[in-house]
Amino acid sequence: MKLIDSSERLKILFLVSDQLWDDLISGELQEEEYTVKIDEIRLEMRKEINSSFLDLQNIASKIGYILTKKQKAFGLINSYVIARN
Amino acid sequence: MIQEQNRLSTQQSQINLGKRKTLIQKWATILVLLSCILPFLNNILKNFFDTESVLLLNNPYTKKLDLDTAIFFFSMPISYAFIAIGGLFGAHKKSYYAVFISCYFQVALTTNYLFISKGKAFIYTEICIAILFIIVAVIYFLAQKYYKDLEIMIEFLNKTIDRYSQIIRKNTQKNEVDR
Repeated sequence: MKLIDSSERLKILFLVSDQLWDDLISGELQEEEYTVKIDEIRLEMRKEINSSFLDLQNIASKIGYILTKKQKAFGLINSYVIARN
Repeated sequence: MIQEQNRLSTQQSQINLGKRKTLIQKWATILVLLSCILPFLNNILKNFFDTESVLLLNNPYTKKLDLDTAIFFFSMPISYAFIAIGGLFGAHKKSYYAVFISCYFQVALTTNYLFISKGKAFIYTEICIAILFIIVAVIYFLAQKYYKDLEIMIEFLNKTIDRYSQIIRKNTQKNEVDR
């Protein structure tokens, strides 16, 4: 099981928060849900944990998104966030 | 009206402080890069005109002073000041690698100058100097990770505060309209 750097973990949670804001603007989310979910992400970002990609996928599935990992050539990775409602 | 925000609008090694302060950050990086070139300025000017002929001190009481050596002696404290100013006002973090490279070349050239009677320095001294600088660069690279995390957190918290304030403003406008 490979562990992820702390900076990459923060970047992925940052992308999830941006996705939540985009959904609020488009109208899929309500404001009450948005505030609750942003607080969860904020408390997760404060932790100083060396976690794996599975842990981040579980966090995203609780919030309502699917996290995937797309691997480019020479080992470069881009992580995506998909909505699931 | 809700406005959309950019995703990670700044580079990873600089904090987003607004439009006015990016100018200062640009000048800070330029100063740090200038401090790399200043110690070699005397070698560059040697090609254009003969600096060793321009004598600043020509007394029988003291040693002679060329323009060549004067530029070299003045470049040291000026480069220190530029690097300090660059650190204060938020220069780009990767520009300091150029400082390491210029320092390595300066140290290597002075050690070779000490062995000028022999022609060139011993191999072991050159290897030791290279290893020292590599260790310092590795330590700097590892310490930079800590500051990268802090900057991401700062940007996230600033964005969430902006978004919460927009939501509150929208709700208060709704309540005022209803009255």
